Amino acid sequence: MAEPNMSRASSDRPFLIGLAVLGATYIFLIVGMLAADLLYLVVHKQIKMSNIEFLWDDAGRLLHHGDNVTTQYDRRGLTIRTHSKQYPATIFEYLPPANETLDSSPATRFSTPMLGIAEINSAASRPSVFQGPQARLVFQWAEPVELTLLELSRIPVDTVATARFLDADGQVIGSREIQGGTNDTMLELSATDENQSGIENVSGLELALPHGGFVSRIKYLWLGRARADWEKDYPLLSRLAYNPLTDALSKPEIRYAIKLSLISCTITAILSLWVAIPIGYLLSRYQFPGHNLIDAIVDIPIVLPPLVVGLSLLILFQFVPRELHDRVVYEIPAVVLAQTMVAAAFAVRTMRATFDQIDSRREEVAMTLGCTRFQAFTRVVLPEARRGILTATTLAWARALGEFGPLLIFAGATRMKTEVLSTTIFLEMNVGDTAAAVAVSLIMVTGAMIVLIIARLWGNRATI
Amino acid sequence: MIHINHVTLQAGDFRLENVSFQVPTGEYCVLMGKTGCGKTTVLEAVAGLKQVESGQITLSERDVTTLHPRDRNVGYMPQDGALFNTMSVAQNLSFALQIRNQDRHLMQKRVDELAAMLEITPLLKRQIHGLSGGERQRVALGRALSFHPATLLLDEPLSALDDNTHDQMCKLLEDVQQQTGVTILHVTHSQQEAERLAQWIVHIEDGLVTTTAGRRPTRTPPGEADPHAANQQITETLPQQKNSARPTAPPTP
Repeated sequence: MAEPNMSRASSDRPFLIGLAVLGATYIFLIVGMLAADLLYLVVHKQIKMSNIEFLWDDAGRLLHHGDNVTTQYDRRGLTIRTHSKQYPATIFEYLPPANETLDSSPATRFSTPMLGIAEINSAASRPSVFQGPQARLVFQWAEPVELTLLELSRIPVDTVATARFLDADGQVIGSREIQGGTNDTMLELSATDENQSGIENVSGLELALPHGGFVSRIKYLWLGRARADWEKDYPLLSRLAYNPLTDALSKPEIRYAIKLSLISCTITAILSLWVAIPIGYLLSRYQFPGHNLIDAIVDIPIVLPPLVVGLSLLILFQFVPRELHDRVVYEIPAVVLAQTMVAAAFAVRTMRATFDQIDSRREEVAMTLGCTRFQAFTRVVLPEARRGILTATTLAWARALGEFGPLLIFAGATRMKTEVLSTTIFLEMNVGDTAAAVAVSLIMVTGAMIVLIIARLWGNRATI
Repeated sequence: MIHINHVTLQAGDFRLENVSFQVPTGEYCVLMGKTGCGKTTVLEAVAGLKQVESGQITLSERDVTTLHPRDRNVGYMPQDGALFNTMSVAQNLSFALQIRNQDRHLMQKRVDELAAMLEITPLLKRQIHGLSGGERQRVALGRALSFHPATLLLDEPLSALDDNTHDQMCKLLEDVQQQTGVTILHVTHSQQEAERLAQWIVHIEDGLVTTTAGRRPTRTPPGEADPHAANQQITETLPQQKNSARPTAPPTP
């Protein structure tokens, strides 16, 4: 007797292993996907790019010819000075003629403002360019940065400007010599030779301009904020306090999107249930003319491309009174409506299946016991459908949370107005802020998980 | 008294024509036939769950042909019991009384009474989930009897039970009939059940309806017309029924 059992067990194994492998791939992908999101946030280096072109300062004020620049960029962690206080770092929009006779020849206008060292000549109203062996522009950063671009201009032919890069302790970690050229502008990409990334861990930059010359642009990557002292001592705590997640949560736009998402999804779930229970019950219990047609129509939102749903809604509202149109389209009601269109279809499917599973005998018995059809429905069918209702609600809620296509077309993606979390991801990706997008994704995942868990707990309680 | 008078029924592509029989008050009638012969449909028509195409159904001298199930005063117990899973045993038993907004004490009293009769008092607080087949049938029976119906309709009540439980339930059904005096119409395909329980046996075969007396002696309450006479009348009309009652899908000329 044991013999055939043995052979049977061994012959089943490849099949079971095959099933497990196929299934495991998918499960692995699901878990991996979410884990990758988390990992991304953990290992993600918070980097902001600063690109200073000396058009505006940090406060958004336009810079003008002759403005002295020192702490105007401290919000980007940068202070600028020169070798001496007497010769300030100054914005030049006009290059004074070499012979200093301002009146005789018109000054050359630069295409963009540039930063140079000025010699204040009390007699002349315009600053002239300071030249000398000691002439140096000094850039200092509050946090180490990765310097990616330094754009110099108007370095005279046959002269050399020298850039020295310093670390936090003031040690020289690299230097470059820039040959002057005939070209108006000389572009220096301060990259190491192997890869195109810039020079890392730069805390200072000394630029020697013995024969004049200007800085027209400087570009670097950095943390995005100057760290407080305690953060340097407790980097882990700092990581907990300042990460893309807390960053995202602190943005008012995202906070608004979270609020709108929660509210609109809840309304959508309730509305979906509102239509799903009657339709599901009718389809499940009664055969009437057009039964199959209605059954098919209910599926349309599921099979339609989401964008088409949004577009069709938009077109539909071309035919309603203007007043209603203005109140709905591109407003919050449009968010709820667009979400409901698709979510309700899923809820109807779920409710239909739920009612199909509930034996209609129970209602019949209830009616012989003295119930009207309505009483049988509310007292017997609905309580038994509790789990199905919960599932339908959860499904509709989660569906609504992820809805994006119809929203984009029908409700728009206006920040602080019709922006829900899925829209936020789209908007953040659009501006290249992947970390914020991932953070918002995780917020959505958390929300969906909470709803799922609540539904499961309630659902289980319902069966006891 | 259940009186089915020239009733025609249609269920899907299945059709029963011109069914007539009657069951005297307080007696036990077993409705027999093969699976799919329409016996359940007849039961449902009596309960009001199936529309009757033509003919008349009278319960306790009252024409109920077009009445809603709730107004027919019948207790109905389908095959699997169809208990309300979301309620406890006690709630199942008192459901009909709750619908009638009965006083809570009366309700409690009735539930205790039923539980005692059906020997399910220890189960009252239990949920339906986890009851055995026999226990379920007892609860379903109690629920059907809870509002003192004049008629009790049983659809294959014993088919899913093991032999031992089957026997107990048969005994219980007899007791219930004696204690409550309810008129019972019991649908089954089992010859054994019919022999054990029936005072009257109604056979449905190929659309033909025949009524015969069962093995159990009929009980003739004082002041009632002799049920044998009533039955005699039916048997007399049998040849007519044989001619007319037959399935008409496909219709025979």
